[in-house]
Amino acid sequence: VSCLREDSKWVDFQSEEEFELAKKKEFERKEAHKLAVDKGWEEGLKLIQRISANSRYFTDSASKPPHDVAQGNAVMAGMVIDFYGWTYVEACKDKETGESRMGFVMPRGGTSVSVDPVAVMKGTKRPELAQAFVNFLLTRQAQMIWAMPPQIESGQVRGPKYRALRRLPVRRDLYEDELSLSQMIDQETMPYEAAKEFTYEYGLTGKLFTPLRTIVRCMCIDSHKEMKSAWAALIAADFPPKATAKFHDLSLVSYDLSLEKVRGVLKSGDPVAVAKMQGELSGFFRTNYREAIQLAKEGE
Amino acid sequence: MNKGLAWFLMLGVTALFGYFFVYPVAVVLKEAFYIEGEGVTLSFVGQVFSNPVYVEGLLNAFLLGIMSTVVCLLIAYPLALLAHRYLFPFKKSLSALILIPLVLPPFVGAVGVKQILGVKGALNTFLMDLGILEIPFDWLGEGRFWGIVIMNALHLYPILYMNIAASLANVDPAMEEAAQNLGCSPWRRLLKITFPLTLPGVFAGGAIVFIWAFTELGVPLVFDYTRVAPVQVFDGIKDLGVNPFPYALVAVMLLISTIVFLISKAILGNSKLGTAPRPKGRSSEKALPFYKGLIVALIFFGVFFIASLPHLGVLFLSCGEGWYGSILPERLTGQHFEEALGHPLVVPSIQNSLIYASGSTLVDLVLGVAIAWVVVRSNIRGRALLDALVMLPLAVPGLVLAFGYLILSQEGKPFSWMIFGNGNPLILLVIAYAVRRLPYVVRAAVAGLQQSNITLEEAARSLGASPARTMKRVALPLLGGSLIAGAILAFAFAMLEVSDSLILAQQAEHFPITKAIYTLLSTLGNGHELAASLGVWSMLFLAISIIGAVVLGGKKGGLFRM
Repeated sequence: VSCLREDSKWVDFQSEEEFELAKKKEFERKEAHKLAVDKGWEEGLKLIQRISANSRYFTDSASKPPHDVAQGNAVMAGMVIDFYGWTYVEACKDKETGESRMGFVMPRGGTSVSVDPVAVMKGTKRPELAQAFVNFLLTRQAQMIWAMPPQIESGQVRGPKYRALRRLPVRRDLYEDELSLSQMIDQETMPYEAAKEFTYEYGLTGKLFTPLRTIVRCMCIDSHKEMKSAWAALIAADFPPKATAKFHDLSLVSYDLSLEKVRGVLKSGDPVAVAKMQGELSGFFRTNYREAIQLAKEGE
Repeated sequence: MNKGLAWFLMLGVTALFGYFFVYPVAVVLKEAFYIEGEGVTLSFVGQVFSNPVYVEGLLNAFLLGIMSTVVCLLIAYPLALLAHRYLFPFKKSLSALILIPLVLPPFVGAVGVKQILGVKGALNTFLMDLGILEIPFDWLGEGRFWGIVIMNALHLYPILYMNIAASLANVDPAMEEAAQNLGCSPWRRLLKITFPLTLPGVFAGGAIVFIWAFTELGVPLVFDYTRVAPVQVFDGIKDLGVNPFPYALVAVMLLISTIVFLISKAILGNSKLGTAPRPKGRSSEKALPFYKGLIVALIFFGVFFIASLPHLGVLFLSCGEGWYGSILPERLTGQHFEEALGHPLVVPSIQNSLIYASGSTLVDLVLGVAIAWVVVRSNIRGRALLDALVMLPLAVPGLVLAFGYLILSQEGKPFSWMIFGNGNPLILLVIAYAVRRLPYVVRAAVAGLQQSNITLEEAARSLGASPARTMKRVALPLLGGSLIAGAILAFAFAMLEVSDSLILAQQAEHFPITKAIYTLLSTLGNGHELAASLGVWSMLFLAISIIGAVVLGGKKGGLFRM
């Protein structure tokens, strides 16, 4: 039985042709899947490139983007944590009309929904009291303080005293209970529904979490100046194909290379090798962006 | 000259300085030159130079340093010269007023700057109202390099001003009069006589301004200018995981700063000013006709006004409401002040800062006088080295020293005794502040001693006064003005020190002002307004103490003039 393999199935033994066909189909399926993964990875990186090219700066301060958007400094939008955004929407409300000059949306699809954790510290002096507080946070009363507008009291449930906190309760039943839902300030936001649209396959990109940070750093942050100039040149020349392709050249950070080479170097823990790779990647993107400017100027 | 005492002072100061400055910096720099298990390496530093982003960052920092110094000089020299030559209306108050911009930390001023230079900020609205601008211009986004240079210059020119003013005061009027007598034109006299004679002040102040601007972190962060070495260090240190390159970058910056300092020292050393005869007691100030005097007064006020615009921005933010797309806030309100005062961080933080800053100023004064005495009045070997050593804190970015202290003050480490059992970092912060501001006091004391005539001390000694009595009755009064100036600077900077305060104060009840402001800034919604309110309180406080000291110093014969 020449066709016996480790992953043979019973149907494979019907005939030689069936077996070949099944093998071919399996091969094609894997090929197609691989192609789709490669393409998905590439499209994702390209999207990150385009968003970065339009962005003013990168920051690790979570309250900076909403403040800058509120002050009109980041002309269009910034990425924020939900309640940061909502707080500034609230702060930018016109006293008379009640309308805010700022809005907050959760873009569909790629938005991950999570809550901040609360826990009792190890070695705390009064663990029972601390645990009691954690338990309190999970009561309906406490959960609704996060979600209600200020100065509202209905029955046993009381909102915050001064300002709306505009955080999302973690208890799922509160979104299913009509009374609670009607008391919330952000009624349209159904976090458990929104979270369903976020697809994440750990098997495909879990290992790429750390490499992705390095890639974004080299592709967007370190070379931001060149990237923005290239993007401006592309816009001015109406995206000529060669220049656009150069801008989006991701050949050093393909799915396979990211998984093997980038991840491998990062995992080696050798700081010199890591810095060398970062230098190479940054250099690669900087050169690409500069060449894209040249190509765009030539109209190619 | 007591050689034994000189040696004792030098060794004592060196030991203290080695323990509290060199050691923590070395702990941090170890990261740049040491691989666990492999030993000392230069590969990290080498890698810095092979990475074009880092090289560009260093170059940009260097250019920022040079240009900031040049613009500072362009502002400070004419002002100092005008103040030296002429009497004009409100001279005393104006001379004090123009020193004030130095005392606001950039990250508080930044809050005001963004209100003014933002796309929907005051400047754009003003220009559009005038019809000069059609669509708003993105000053912060587009004007990065020069924006930072101007902000640096407007913040740092008082340093050069003070140094040049002190130098001018020591130029022997006879020199200038001689040139004038021999038919020299005013411009030629300025270029050939006055300017060269004041070079020591220019270089002393210029070196400080350069190193400050070269290592400045706050202002580039306001402009989101990331391709500059200090910001790269800051971002790198925050990187999770072990990354030796920010430390390697710090080592390179330290080297550049040290070289700049040594060059300025070398130029100062060649100057004959130190041995020039002491100026005679008469004043060379000329009273200006009324309208000319008024113009000079307006120039002084204009510089102060422009330099304090960020501070004004902070003021308006603290007492205004609805400042968006308008030149000034739409409404005035006391609400932010009220809320800030009620905030549990605010009042204690002012108390804490006062204690920390006074303590560190006291330490600086004692050490500063001792060091200056060894450097200027003794002839023991290695005193120049001591002088160079105590200037090094200027070259080390505050963040690096702060990290060194943080590492060493963990439980079980050598500095852990400096934090009290309840977590009060009093001693740690007093020492950290004192070390970083010591150079200003040393420079002030050295300048004062160099310029006060040693023959006066010798006369006292030859008439039978003891060394202690000579110090007390002759030397200290003669350098009092310089010393007060240095102490005020040290105090003001300590009150508003950023890096150590942010990193080393970890419990809210021990927060100094800057950490309280920083914490308030991240309060969602009205955090900037609350932070501005505390900023205004601290500015007011510092302005009063500085003006007070200037007036006080003025009564005793001039703060910056001998």
